[in-house]
Amino acid sequence: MITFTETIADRIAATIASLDGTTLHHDPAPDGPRAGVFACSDSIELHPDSLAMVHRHFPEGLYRHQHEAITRIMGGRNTVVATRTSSGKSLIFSLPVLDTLCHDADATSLFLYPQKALANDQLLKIREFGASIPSVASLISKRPHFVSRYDGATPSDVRGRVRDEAQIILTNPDMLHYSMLQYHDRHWARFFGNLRHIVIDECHEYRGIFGTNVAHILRRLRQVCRLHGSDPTFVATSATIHEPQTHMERLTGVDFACVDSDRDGSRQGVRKFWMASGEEHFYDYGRKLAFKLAEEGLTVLAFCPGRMSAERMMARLLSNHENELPFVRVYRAGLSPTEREEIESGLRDKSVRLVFSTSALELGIDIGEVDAVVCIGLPNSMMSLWQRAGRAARAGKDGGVVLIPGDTPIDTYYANHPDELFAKDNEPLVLSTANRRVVCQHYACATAEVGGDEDTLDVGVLGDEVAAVQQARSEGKMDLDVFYRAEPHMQVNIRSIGEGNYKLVVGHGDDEIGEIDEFHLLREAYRNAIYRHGGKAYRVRDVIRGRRKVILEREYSWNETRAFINKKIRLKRRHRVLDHENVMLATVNIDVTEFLVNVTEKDRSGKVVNSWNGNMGMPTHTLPTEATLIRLRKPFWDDVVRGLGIQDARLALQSCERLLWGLFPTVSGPCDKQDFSSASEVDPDGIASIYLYDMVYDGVGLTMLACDRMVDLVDKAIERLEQCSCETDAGCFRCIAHPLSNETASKRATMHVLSRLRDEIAGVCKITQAEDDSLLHDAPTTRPCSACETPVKLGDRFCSNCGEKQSE
Amino acid sequence: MTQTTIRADIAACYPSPLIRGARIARLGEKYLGPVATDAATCRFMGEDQIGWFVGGVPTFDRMIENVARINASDFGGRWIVVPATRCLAEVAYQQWFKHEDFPDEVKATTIWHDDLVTFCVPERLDELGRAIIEQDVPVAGIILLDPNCIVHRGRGFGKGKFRISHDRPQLIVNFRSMLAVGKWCPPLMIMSLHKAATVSAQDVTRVYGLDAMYFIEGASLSCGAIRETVGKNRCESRCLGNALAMKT
Repeated sequence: MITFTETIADRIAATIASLDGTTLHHDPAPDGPRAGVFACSDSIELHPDSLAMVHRHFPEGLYRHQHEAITRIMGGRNTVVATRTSSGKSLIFSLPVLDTLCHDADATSLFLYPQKALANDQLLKIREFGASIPSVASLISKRPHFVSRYDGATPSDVRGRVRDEAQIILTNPDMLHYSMLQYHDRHWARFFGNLRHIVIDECHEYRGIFGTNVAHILRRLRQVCRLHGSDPTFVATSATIHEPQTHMERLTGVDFACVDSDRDGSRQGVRKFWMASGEEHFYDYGRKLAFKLAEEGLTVLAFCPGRMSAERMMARLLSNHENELPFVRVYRAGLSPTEREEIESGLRDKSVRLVFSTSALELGIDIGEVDAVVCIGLPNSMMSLWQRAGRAARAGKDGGVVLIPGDTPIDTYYANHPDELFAKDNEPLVLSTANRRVVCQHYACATAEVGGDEDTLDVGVLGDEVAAVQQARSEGKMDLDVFYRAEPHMQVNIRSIGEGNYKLVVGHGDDEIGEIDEFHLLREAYRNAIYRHGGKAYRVRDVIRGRRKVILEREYSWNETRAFINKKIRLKRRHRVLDHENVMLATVNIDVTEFLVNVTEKDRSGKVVNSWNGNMGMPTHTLPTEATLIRLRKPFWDDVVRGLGIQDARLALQSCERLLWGLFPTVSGPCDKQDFSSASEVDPDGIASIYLYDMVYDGVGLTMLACDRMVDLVDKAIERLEQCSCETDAGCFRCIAHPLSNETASKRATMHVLSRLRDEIAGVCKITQAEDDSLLHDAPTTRPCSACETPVKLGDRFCSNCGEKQSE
Repeated sequence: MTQTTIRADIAACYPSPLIRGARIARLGEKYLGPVATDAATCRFMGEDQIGWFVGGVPTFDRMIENVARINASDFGGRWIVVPATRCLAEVAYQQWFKHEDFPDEVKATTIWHDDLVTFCVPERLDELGRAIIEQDVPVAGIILLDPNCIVHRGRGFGKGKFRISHDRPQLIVNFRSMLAVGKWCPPLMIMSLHKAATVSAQDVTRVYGLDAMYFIEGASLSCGAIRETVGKNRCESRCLGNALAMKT
């Protein structure tokens, strides 16, 4: 029986306690509530209309951090605001922009959002703000596109009017790159000539390869603004960012002032954390808990590790409830805009009470009040944890967050050390503006934007990397295809560098249900796969590479398919080498080629009902990237093999790889598991290698950090192994067992290899740095086939002209 | 990961290279050397998912003649011959039994067995596969007789809930996977009147779930046991010639 005196935290706690076999790993005191700290808004030099709006809507005054940030922005200083979620950051950038329009109706502003859904949400808020300021309201009433979105969802017949009328444009980096910068002189001269503010919301999202691309786009934007005679002020916001000032300076290339969480004066409700697990699998526990909370009448957001797990949870719930659960939905990338908006509005009006989501709902999309957040598997990064937690307890309301650790070494580590998890700061954000491929692509784009003459590039704005390319080009050392493309903008994929996404099409018609990128294609939408989308199952009938289409057919089955993927590593170049007697650690460039080797289909009982060998016609995927290499030299490996036997030694190597990969986030900053991966191999000469590599084309310098922190990483791996509560030598998923392998590993053998490795790397080493470390070095991309001499792409296993298998 | 387990009697499946030919590069038709279905070749073809595309076979009759020579060799594993369509199956049936005196009503069927080969249309491969598994018959390979090279395009997908989808190449893919032993599947050979250069080989490879294709010059195709004595007619002499060429 629920009584009115029960708080949300009490109800969540009671539900957790009611589940059988629950173990509470962490139950800290609730955070908050906290009263607001206000500052008088009269001290800001605002237009009377703006000031009246502030007095009307915020009678208590502005929060302290809002006041400070707005004062700085009004003074023309680039400012980044890094206060917690639901602290009124939208007002910070909206007010200066609208106030400028009160003085100068020609002034323009550009709002950048990492996702279209966020822009949509903010558009309504800005229009609402604008309508409450009379000077701006009169402008809006005259021009319907005064404040507009301009992105892929904007109808083409409206785009012309937006370009002509809009003073405030909300867009994303993709559209800025493909449409606005490319045609800046033809269509956007008015807009860029009057540009006063550039707002970058959720700026922590601009990291990794996406952030690297955006860094170059923003430099190109500054170059274009200079061409048109404007000098805009940057405003950036984020609730979860490490070193905001440094990050924004690297992202934009200009100096920033910072208003951080120390100055946060916002009012906050009660937020309570739990870390709990059950006796059953964490998926089952999480699904049951989330569903039970939803049945209690709470609005629940259940974050799942990936899209497949989210779909599977939904499918499992549906099968247990005869397909009748209208209040449960799945939210993930790849949904159509209609589906997304339906779920978002469902959450707002409470017709949807439980959403199984991927990280897609982490950011500040307005989904109303969420009572409980359930994280099934710990979030991959602290940023992700705080973003997810920020979905609950918004706008002074109460909420709870339940963390359910998964069966992985890293989750188990934090389940045993929960204080360590909560003591961690947000990760430093990785940007690699020196990424060779990215620099060259943006160099070509920047050249096209200044009319095609490379000598007129503003390298002072575009940065040192572009200057280096310009120098190399002028010396005739760089002659890549990308510099001679008619439309270089179209060659850039700013989200991943891959060759673009595949469309998911049902049948041979144009019934498109979503998109999938190359990386996930090989894992989820390979031929004969059962692909789940919105709780529905489809069979992948074909993958047409040329047309970048995946042909699906509706399937009525509860079966699941799983792909087994093998990797081949090609070492290209060493940079920094730490040479120990029998072990070499090095930062290296490698090519990782992944190919499908087998697909199995299982029914609900786990019985294999079908199996297909070979790559099923799926293309290989080659990832050129950066890595840390751990090379166990022949004497070391021979000793291990003598002690353990060849089979156990090989399994121990794989177990070491899994532990080092799993625990890498404990020694590095960024720990999003999707950003890095690992591989191990023993070559025919008896040398064993473990690679930790970036999951980004050409790398972003993430896993290279492991080279200098290897002692610490190996120590953590040994500790994990020693402390694991499993009783058998075969280990468990929390230590060395691999969920996708049916081979039995050995804790004893793994410990043996790790201890030897620890002893080896603890000693003195000789450090060498490769002399030719230039990013401008061109490596060949093909080699002649050994049989017919046709050029074969590096990484391809077979020649397409004669079928000859290529040597490794 | 499942480890490789190869049928112990793989050598018994291929005691002699029953199918031989000249391997060429698809574009430019560069000659790459002789190739034959010996045990070692069929082992890696099955493990690495490499198919044979025998392009430029002069006539459909020649295909049937070649299959007949395989059938006449009387040793090794069973070859499953798949005519592309029912009509072709009828033609193949009449050609196969042209010397037999059947009553008029037994003019065609979609599946029939002989000494070393079984003919079966794609639609009945599932049924055949189950029978093979039940009786534990060693299968040496699958020969798809597709003179016009159309089977890989025989696909259509319905949108309606109860509409049956049509996917002929998938029937062959499923049949191979049904007969898989560990990583090894019976090799697939496609015989066509079209030369390899005129066919979108990558599409064919992809649709049949193969990793790569060897391209064989159809005119050089030679099947059946290698004869040690000089033949009495031109055909046998040519067989011998090919065999000698391969030995050298």
